[in-house]
Amino acid sequence: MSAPEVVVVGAGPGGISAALEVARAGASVWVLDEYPRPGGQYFRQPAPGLTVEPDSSVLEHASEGRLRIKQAEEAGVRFLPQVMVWGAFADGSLAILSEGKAEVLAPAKLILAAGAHERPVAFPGWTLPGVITAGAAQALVGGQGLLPGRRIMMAGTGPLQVAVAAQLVRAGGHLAGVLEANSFGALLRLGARCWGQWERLWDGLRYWRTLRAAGVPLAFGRTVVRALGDGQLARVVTAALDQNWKVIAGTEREIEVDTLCLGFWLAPNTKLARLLGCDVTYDPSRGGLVPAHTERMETSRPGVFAVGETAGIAGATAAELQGRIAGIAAAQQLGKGNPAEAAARISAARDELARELRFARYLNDVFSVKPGLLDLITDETVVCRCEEITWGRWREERSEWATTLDAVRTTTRTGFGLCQGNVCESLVGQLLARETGKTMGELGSYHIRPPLKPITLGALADLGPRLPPPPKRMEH
Amino acid sequence: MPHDDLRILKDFRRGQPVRIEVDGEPLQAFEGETVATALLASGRRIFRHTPGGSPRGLYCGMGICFDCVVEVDGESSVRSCITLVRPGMKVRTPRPFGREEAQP
Amino acid sequence: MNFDVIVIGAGAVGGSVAFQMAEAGLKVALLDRQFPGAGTSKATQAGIGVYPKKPEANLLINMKGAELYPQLVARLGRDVELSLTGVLNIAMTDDAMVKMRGFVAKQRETPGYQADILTGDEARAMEPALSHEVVGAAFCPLDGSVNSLLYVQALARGVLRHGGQVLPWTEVHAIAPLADHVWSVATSRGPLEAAWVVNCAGIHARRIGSLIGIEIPIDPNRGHVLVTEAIPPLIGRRISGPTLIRQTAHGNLLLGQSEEMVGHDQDVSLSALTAQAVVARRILPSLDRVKVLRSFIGFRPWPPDGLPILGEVPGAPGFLVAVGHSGVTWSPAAGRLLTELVTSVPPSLPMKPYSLARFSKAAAEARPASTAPAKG
Repeated sequence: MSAPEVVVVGAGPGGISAALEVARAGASVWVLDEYPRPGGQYFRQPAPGLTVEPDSSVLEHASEGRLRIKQAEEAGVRFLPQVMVWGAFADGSLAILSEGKAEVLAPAKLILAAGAHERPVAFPGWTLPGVITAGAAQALVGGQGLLPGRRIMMAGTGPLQVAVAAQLVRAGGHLAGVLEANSFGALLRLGARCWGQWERLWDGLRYWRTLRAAGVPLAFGRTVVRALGDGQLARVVTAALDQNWKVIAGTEREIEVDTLCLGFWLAPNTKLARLLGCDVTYDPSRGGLVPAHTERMETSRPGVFAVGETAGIAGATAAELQGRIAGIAAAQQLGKGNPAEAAARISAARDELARELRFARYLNDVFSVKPGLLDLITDETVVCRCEEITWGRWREERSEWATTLDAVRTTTRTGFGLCQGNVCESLVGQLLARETGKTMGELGSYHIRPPLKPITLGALADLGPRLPPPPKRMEH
Repeated sequence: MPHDDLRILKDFRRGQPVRIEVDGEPLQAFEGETVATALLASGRRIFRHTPGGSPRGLYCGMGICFDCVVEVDGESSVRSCITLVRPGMKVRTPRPFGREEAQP
Repeated sequence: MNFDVIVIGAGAVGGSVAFQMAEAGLKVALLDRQFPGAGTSKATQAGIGVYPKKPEANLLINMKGAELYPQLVARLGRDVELSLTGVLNIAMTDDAMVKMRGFVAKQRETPGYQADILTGDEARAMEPALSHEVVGAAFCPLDGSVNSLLYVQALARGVLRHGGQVLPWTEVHAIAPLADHVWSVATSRGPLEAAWVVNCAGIHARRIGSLIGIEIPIDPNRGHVLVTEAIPPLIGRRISGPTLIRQTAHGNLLLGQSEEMVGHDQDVSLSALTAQAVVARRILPSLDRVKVLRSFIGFRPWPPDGLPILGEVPGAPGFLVAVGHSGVTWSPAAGRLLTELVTSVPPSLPMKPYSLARFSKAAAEARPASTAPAKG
């Protein structure tokens, strides 16, 4: 594989925008992504082989995404879909898996645009087949042309689940309800902050109208507290919540559904940043654990940038602005692009970005997962899905001196399974914070080691003899 | 096919049919579909049982949670949600192998 | 605060020392700069390794450790996945077979030791997953493994059960004699006093030793280990030889045995990872399509001659040392021997070969501190 000067990890809005700027400035750039097509979640493209009417109302932002991708390709960006990044090493090399074969890249600059994942919320029955995330529903509808089920309940918080619900309706899905955990009053307070966010308000109105027209019941201050079924989901129990999201006794109702879509807002994907040794801090206003970065989106590791949801939950517009800034900055570090123009464009982007970030902070605050929801977890509820560790077992095994996430992992095995903590880390963190009275920031995070995602022993072994000589150290 | 109604017909056109095998039984999917889609569209939501005996299927749909994993052409723990079907692909759904912590 | 014993380092060795002393009725404080097992004990394959140890002294103490394991674990009252199904040390070449025969013959001179030489076919009859490239093996039934993560927790909890204290997240700043056989240990939690101080600080043992002016020649020897996903039982015994492999009670396989003297460098080496993968696949070909979930790096506390450093320090009455490579294996023995020492019971094994004094008389003697560390 020939070497690009810049590698972008993640082909969502942030990654595409960054790559475009790098290419325009005249540097070579590859964008790596695990999915069959670039676009990430926001610009989700239908899979190759599936044809969709270009302006289908079933798709969200796909046309916009297609334009951006085309623009980037025309500028010289090379998109490599179905590539898994599994390692990063001190000498600056990046280990990837492509078509079953492990390879090593050694870019001079790295831009992390790995996006976000849904916040896990646990309750009895949450591991039953039929319980999925809003992101899964989005991926199925937009990427695969598939409805996730025939009678769907949405539960969660925030605008994302409303958007997905509307998309499901437009796709012909039957929604039994959309439950927002926040009270209507809490949302009204947010509404006041929306002044100036016209596009968002318009989108919100559209979604609401779609749901109303389809007769989808909307409820506020309510959520799902239990999922039931024999081997797979058949019913859910919903209940009303107080301001702290604690269940109000006596408000439980059972309803038959075959699919439960959980959309409890987002948390940044930071594993690659952490593996690279980038400093991270816990910042609830940005969605959780985030890498520290400069004004030019450079992390504490020189030559490594972070943009988009990876750098803090702030939406697609912020991601594109951050991508622009990082792309220009990375190219500048390579001596490419006019410095005066670069400075001016970065400055303009930063002004726009500031506005987006301010609004994002309100969203992250209003749509944070309130601690009352942790009470749903019983001794029998699984908290680490991969290793099947229940809350009761966790409490038994966890020693009193295990007061950091890493210590807890060592003593209880949470985070030792296939997903290596992708799902359980924030959940276990919240539980540990509650047990110890410490803040999330004091708990640290799971120690990250390669491979970031599982790779076959064979692929690793086959790489051995093909390892290139140690690459030049990353330029700073 | 039962549950064919999960495939969205409005505005969508499928590509070539792709024949795969699941636990020895033939299954027809379409070009561009993931293994998860093929399973879901055939009415199957239980993709595997954990070592402890718990039924699992699709959860995050984004390649992050590893709950949807199946064996594909001899390779274990393959994420069905991001793996596209290929003609002749042999899928096996994992069975439990007796670990203590079996939870529903 | 006054104790009979302060144990510095709550890993397998420190935990076993502290637990057995607490069992014997001593008032014990078990300290750790982080949490019990945060050091090498959580980054090891945790094999109970008798086979590869050189006769006499190293073999004896490791055999003793293996022998004492079942009783110790029974007293801990928790399942720590102790398995004593032996080790198959395999050879992939005729040369390696010849060397192995010679080695085993020497080891057999030590009473109590057992090992049999097997052909490749006999080895495969025992472990069908082994590659056909395996030319032969030595099988030692005394070996096994333990889940060191669980073992260390159980030891520390055992200390509490017997009235001792566990002080995690506690740094040791200074150690000085207050009087003959009375030590003052200045920590981040304040000063502690005890008649005995035991240095079980693993790769940090050198630093702890330097606090009383003695040189403890322990350096970190780094190893990479790969961890696979859990799979149905593939092998029932540990495999050693060109690499180390074992399958845990949960079904995960631990693969790897690199040895690198690189100081405390925590950066994973890609070539070390791929090298472990190459050799593991050669030995167990069916692992080819099995997923590797993560890797870890562990640091062995490496003494220059391979022998644990155990026992008293001349010139520092009450200051004891228990440190070295393979601590998981000989930890039950270290706990027994040091408890015997402290309770004036004749030792179960001659202690002289393990003495710090063997390195150099001058280095082994303490330089007495001129003043006690400040209180508070």
